[in-house]
Amino acid sequence: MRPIEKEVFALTIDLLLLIAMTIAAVWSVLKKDLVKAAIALAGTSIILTILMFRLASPLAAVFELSVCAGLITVILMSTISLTKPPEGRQKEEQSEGRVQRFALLPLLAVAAAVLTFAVLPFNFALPQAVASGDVRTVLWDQRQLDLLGQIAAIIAGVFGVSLLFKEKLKSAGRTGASWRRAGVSSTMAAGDDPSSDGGASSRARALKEDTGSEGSNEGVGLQPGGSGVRNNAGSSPSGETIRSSR
Amino acid sequence: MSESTAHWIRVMVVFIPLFFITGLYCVITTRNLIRTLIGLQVLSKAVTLLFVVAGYLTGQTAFSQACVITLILLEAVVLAVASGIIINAYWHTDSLDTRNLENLKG
Amino acid sequence: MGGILLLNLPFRRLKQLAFPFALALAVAQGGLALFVPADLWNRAVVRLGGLGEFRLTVDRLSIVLLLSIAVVFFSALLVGRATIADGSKRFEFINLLVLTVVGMNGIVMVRDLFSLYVFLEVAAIASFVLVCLNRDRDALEGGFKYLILSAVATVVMLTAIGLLLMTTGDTSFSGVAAALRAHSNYLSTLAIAAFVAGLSIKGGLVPFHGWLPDAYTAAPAGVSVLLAGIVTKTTGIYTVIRLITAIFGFTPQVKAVLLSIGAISIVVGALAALGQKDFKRMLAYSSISQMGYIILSLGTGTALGLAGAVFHLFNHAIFKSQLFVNAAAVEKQTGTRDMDVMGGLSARMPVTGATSVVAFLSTAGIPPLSGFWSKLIIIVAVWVSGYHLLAVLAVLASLITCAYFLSMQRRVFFGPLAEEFKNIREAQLGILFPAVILALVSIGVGVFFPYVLNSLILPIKSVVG
Repeated sequence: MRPIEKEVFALTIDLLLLIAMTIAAVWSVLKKDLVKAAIALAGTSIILTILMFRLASPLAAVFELSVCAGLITVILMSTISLTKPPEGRQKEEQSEGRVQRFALLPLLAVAAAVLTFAVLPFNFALPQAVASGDVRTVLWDQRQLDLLGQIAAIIAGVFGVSLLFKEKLKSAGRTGASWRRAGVSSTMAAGDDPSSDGGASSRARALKEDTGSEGSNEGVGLQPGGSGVRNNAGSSPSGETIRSSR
Repeated sequence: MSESTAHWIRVMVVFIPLFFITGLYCVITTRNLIRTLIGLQVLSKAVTLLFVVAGYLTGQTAFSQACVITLILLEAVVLAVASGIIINAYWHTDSLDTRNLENLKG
Repeated sequence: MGGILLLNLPFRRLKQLAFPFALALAVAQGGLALFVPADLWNRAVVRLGGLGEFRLTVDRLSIVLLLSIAVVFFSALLVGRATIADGSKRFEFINLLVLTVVGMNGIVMVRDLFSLYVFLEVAAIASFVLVCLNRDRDALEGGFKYLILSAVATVVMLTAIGLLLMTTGDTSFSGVAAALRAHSNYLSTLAIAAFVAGLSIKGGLVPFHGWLPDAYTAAPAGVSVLLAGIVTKTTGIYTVIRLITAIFGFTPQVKAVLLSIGAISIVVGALAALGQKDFKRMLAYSSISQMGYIILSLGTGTALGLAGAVFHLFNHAIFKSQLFVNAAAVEKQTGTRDMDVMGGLSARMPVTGATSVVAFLSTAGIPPLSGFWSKLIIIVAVWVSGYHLLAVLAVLASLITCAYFLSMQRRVFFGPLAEEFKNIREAQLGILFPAVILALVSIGVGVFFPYVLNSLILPIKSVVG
């Protein structure tokens, strides 16, 4: 009696944990407030950690806890706070069209899940339970190539972060605003393909930032002028703003 | 195969796709850039769970743990870079709306 | 070789040294790939591997890829140096470039699914950052889309790997292949499907190509060369080839999927390219179309098809990089990518114009350039396998390719010289040099085709058999 009871009990706990984790995950997706969503994500991590402990993966569990529930939550929180809109908390709705298009998806998923649960046979042959690699550290010796790859990935990430997080508020703000004005005004004036105009002027601006005073100066100077010939009033203020933002 | 293993597989086949769909749904239908990242993370959790279970079921917990650790690490790096991009985009456009990213259509 | 994997030291203080070092790396890799036979590579790699339990192997397919990577690396390096004036930014560019190459070399040389994932991510992360190097708005947009789609693709592929781990207890190529042959069930079929889906996203095949035009267009010049020339190919297409030949085998379903994805990509890419005004964006759609050719050829499941696919992969690396190098030159000298505004540039930029002609002829499959031969092989392979309709489609799409390139050439280079560009000069040497070299390779491979056929292409059969 008792071994079976224990097994049923164990399974039930796992089931409960799984359900809890699902709820937490769904919460993190649906909660309107980003901070609460991030916390729900952390909660999902914690429950996952518990599950991992039960599934004989202690080291991975610890890693998951410290990185996902810890580091990632921190990164998310700092991103959220760095991008808080000036007028207070922004109300975010979900893209309606898309929600309609994909609204069936979750329902389908649940239905499919229930079906598979009931119907499909699961008695296929799994490979023999290999006597598991004894200690994890021993195993890591066999995977050194992956370690090398991870180091490379971290280096790339460091470059990325240092590159992307550099304080560039001043020029980004100003050129961003002037670019938007340029893009919008030339769109309104010309009415032709906005992407090419916007792309061209932002390209010109980026080129100017990059190459300083090389031969492309002529190109940049002429470009707004050139498109000014094509679409009258709209672009001359844009030419103005591009030059003044430098 | 033991009864419990079969049972486990059944359970997992239900739950892991559920996580997967949840994450995918989030990534597809959200309008907020940061929420896309959250959806991505949920997807990663689904895969992590899959690997852990796979290791458990085949008895190779050591190997699967190594995979999981690598996986978590790489996803964290991707998240960090993505946050960097989002912050930069915010500096340019003052908003987190994905609709602002429709500029290059053509 | 394996040594290149190790040589990715980011130079903190020796900024001057970074460029020549990276250049030397690229040349070394190219030289080694070209002249050293596979066995020698393997021995060297294994000996190096013995130092630290690496498991890398190199076979014929890998060598072709390594050569392509080296060539594109070289070009991207030179173009990047010429177009990025800021010293520290150039430094970051070079480092990230080297890291991407490290990732790709790894992808090409590993024999294990999980390691494949690791190096895939390395290349991906480095290229995400590269796309956003200039941090202008368009680049961030393209980079973000690229990142999200690529990350989703990665997760899908990981699911596949996890499923395979569960059903076969292993992740090395040989282990999984053996186990799949022994017994397979619907979970492993699902894994295969997931893999192909994920890889299609990474490779920019229709219908998963959403990120590609934006990322290619908005990335800084040198990065576009890199992306178009090799990253998409290695991470997406090569991996498909490797997986199918090493693990999954050419089952009818696999072939059917490949054929359809390939055909759709060819058509959609070509049609979309017709309507583009932005130079780089047009090239991006053209890339999608060419990828379709490669996958189509792969889908025939024959040795000839495989040879054609790999050859076209190599050729595309050459001529697409060429075109992007030209685009970089044009963009730098004229400050715009809008083709309607340009005109008659070849009067002032003769070299760029000439190399561009070589590249587009090669893409469209005009003899005696390299592209003609690879397209011929592909079309023959498809026809011989009985898919007559698809072969005809491929030929028609080739005509469309010719059409849009001709229109591009006319708009950008020929015709009357536009007013505003009266005074532009030819691009500087740094950009011209790779352009010329790439053009020469296109011509050379085309003209010396029989030699190339025997030494590089046919031995690929050993990968399949």
